[in-house]
Amino acid sequence: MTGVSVRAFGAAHLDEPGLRGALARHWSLIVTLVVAGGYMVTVTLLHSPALSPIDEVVYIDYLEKLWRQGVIHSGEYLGDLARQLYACHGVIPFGRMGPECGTDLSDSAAFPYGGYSSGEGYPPVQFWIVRTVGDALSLIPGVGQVTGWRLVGTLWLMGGLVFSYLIARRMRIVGWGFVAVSLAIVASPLGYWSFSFVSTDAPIFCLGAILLWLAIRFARGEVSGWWLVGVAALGATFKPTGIAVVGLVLIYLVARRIRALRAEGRDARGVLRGLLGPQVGLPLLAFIMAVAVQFAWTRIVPLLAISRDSADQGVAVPPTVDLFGQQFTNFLGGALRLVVPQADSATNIFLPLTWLAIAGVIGSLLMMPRGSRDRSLPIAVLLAFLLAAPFLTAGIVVASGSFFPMPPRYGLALMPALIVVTVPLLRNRWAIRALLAYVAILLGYGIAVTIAFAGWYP
Amino acid sequence: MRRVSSPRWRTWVDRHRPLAILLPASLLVAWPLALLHGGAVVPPANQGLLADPLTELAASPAWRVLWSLWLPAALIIVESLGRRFRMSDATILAIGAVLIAAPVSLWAAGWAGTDGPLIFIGVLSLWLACRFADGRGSGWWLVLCGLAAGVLGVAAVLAFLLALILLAGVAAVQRAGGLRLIGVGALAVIASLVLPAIAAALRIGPTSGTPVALEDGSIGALSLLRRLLDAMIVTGLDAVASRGGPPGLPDYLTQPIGWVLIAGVLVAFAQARRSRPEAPLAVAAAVTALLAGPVLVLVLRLLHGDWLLPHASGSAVLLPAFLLATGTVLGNRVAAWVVVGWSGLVAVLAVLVVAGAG
Repeated sequence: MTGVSVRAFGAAHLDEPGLRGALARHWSLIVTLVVAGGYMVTVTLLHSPALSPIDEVVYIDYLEKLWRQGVIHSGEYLGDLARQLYACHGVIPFGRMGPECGTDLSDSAAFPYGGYSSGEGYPPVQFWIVRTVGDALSLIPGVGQVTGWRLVGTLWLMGGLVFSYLIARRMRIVGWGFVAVSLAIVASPLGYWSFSFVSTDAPIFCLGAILLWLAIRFARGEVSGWWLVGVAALGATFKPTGIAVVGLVLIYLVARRIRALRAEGRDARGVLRGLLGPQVGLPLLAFIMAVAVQFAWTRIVPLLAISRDSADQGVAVPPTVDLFGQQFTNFLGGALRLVVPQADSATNIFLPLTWLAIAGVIGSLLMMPRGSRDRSLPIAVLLAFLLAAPFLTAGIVVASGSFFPMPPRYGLALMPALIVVTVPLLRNRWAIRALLAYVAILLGYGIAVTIAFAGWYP
Repeated sequence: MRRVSSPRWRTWVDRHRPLAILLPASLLVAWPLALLHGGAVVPPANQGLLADPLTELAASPAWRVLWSLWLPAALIIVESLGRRFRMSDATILAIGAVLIAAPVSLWAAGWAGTDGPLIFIGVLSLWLACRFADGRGSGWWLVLCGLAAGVLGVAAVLAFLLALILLAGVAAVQRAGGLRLIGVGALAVIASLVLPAIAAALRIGPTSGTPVALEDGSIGALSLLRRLLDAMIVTGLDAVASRGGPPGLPDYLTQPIGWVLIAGVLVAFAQARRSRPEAPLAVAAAVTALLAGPVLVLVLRLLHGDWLLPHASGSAVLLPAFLLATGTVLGNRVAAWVVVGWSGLVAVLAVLVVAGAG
């Protein structure tokens, strides 16, 4: 048990069946969920209708049209709801966009990117879930439709935290350390922009935790590897960034298998032969499936196009060795800290979050802590953090022919893995207390900023 | 049977295997840097009473070659401290390699500024503090060192603040002789401020900070708090770990070296146990990393009467302590060799890039 003893939470009840026993056993999950859920719901409800700059207008437009037309077509204009949100509420932190609110909004060209949607890149699967659950949540008095859709982000967060906890519990690393590291992710700009607005990044966090949980169970022979294949393929229908965590799982299982084979005393040829079995084959198939599903969607998009024109967001840049090299440090150096640079770089308060990520990923490798039973995991997590962004960048070059540096927030898929490698390092209760105090400051800052945003962008 | 004695140099190499690699390596990096950059790039601001003469002398390649010897001198003491903290040869080699290849050191070794001696003072003060804490040396050496280090500007105070926290940590663990340990540490901190105070009073040498831009000519309590918090985050650990290398050396190559330092300092603190001998060092490194900014801001305010943001380059004085804290958690042999390999790559590329530009 990491950090403060479980005694304060009723060690006497640990073996009891029922609610009291469950509370004593899972208190760290309960504390995490209550604080994370309370914070994220509060922030979401405090938001004005002003949009997140991370394409929220595109996702809201997708959700609004979903039941009418199924998918977004390439070359399609944004609908009325999206135009009204643009013109009357604007985008944080840029303000209102397009024609004056209350005037004629029919001129598409007056909106950013010529008024085109860029939603065609997403299969509709995740939007079915968000629309169904979000509409149900919007029935709660006082919660409008857009807020209902936004609240689904909190559920993706909860799902990811629950599965991260299940992994941590298997590794016997639950406790205040788990609470602190999990809440640091929640309180980060990555958590703020991903889970309190409509975002396609949010489900990838949950997917990352599920895939890692399945991988660890598969490695121990507790679950079929076909689950990995199925969930990886499903995840690929959400967003290409899910491939990062499928890659992590593949590296982890290959590294683990190699270690096991070497422990049996096999030579290099024996190790190679041993890799041919289902323990590596199925995760490899999962990876291939994830890539194939994404590739297939990029081929379907042109078939559904209604126009040759489409949104040019101006993110493609001429490729250079330096830009490609920067991708290697992209996720570890920036994922937690810098999501919307215009807002997040106004203060240095988020910089220590990057230190936390670096300490977790690099530190677990420097030490190979005994607290973690699985030495292959720190290696896989480091390689995934370093290689995921260059791999995804290269994939986009192959699929679309354009060079598109990855936004650091795409590293969200790897955050459950970050929790798992970081928590075992926190053995000093003062370090945990310091992290909890820092997290408390960030949570307060997040609420204060939300109130300010709601005032500035009503 | 007659015993065949091995040559003295062989005995020395056997006892100091990391140094046998690090010392020549440091010269192979420092001297080409010092000779080849041709003064093309302006070095970071020098600090303290020696700042102006050093800036003038830095134009001479011969002087730069001589001045870069601070680096091997620092490595010798780092090795000694590594032994004191029971680090393996691979670990000492790894932290020594980082000391050579860290961008802070590349600037220090090649451009003959105050950073070189600041790095040396950083490790010397730690060595003196450890010897005093172990009962093997007089505390007055630490005080004397603090007095002399003040010639390098206010940033030197950070080394003695770290020594004070380390001695306080040792006192807390030993529960005996604590007052003496803390008293000597505090005296060293005060001693390190004597020369900067004289320089400030007589207005000699440059100021080690940049004036804060004020909106309305005044600084309110909230704004002050924000500036202290900002300085807390960007001055200590971040200033050392995020410093860019010479122009032409991509940041994505030097960043991993900074990552090793960040991971080392934070994990050493997160793993610190009262019963472990390295705990005072781990706590001192982590606490100083956070306090460096606010302490320098307040010291500059006391000395100059203005709110100044401290120059980041002065944090070079903390590099050795951060490295030694890292060494206490760098227990994995393969990871140590990866660190050595990456540092070597960065050092070689730095020399090539500087040679190409020069």
